[in-house]
Amino acid sequence: MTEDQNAEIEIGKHRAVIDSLDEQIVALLNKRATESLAIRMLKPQAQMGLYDPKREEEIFTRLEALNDGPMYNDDVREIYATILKVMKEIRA
Amino acid sequence: MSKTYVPNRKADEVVIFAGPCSVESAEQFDTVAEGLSKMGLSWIRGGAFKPRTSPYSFQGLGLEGVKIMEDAGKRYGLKTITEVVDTTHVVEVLEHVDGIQIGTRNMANFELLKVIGKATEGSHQPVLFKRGMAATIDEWLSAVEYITQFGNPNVMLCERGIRTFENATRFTLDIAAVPVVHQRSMYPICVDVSHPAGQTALVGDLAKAAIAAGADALMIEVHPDPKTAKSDASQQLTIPQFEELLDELRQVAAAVGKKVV
Repeated sequence: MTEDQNAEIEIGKHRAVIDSLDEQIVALLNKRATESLAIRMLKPQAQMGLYDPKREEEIFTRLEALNDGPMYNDDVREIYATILKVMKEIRA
Repeated sequence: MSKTYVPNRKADEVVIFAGPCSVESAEQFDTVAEGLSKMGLSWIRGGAFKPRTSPYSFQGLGLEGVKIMEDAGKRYGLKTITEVVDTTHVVEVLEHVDGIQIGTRNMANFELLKVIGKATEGSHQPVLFKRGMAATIDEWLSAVEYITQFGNPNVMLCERGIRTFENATRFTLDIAAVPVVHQRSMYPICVDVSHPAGQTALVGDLAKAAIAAGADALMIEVHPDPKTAKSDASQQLTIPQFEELLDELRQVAAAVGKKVV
């Protein structure tokens, strides 16, 4: 077996792990979206706006504390900025 | 619980903040105040501290202008609103007017926002908070909390046009900001139709569009003699032009279940 073939097999293994993680991530994001939508329905009664910059900052700060790499805190923030944007925009 | 404000939005009213771009004299301001009062409106606006593009342009009458507004407001039964640009003026100006405005150039002047938030913390005087001309809606909704964090819930946002490549109008009126702000926040939203228009011919149509889109208030510049105005001459309506427009605005408001005040 050549070095090239070895690398391809290794990549295949990592990709299988990634595929499995992605399945979990999508399932978790949809769970998260369900919770988001539940909150969205309750916010008018609580006289709260859909966009809550204070809460978003609390989420970022909490995630940064949990982050132990290899991603930088900025990377986590960038990913979550998109997640929070989508959560505000998904159709109920 | 993350909650820094309570909404102050009246679903059945469109408030009109009309008045001259700049307070130029007692006579000029009284003429407008008398006209607005006869039309049954409740507020008058005027600029006393003018953040002009050029430092050599007319800078406003300052505190003298604010006092002219206060006198006219009392005489004609109108509430008054004016812009403040300097943290050191906030407390004094608030003693003379009902509401205070933060202009587009100061949206990100967070020290000014904090001073205004603290100064109105007990009085809950209305604050009209304009969108920065290059700010996203979320940046604007984040910045507003510099004011509301101290406890004054009485803040109204004001869309006033943003910078785009388009130069047929002075600024591009982001009419979508009205439903987006209503979707994302509990704040009421005003639309300043004079600044994006930049010319009187467009003011009326933009004002009608703003009410139809759900605006809670409009800001429209009105001057007794726009051709001699010391600022923004080309976008200010005469009093008769404004009165004619107001009739149309009342009809548009009625169509969406609101009344103009």
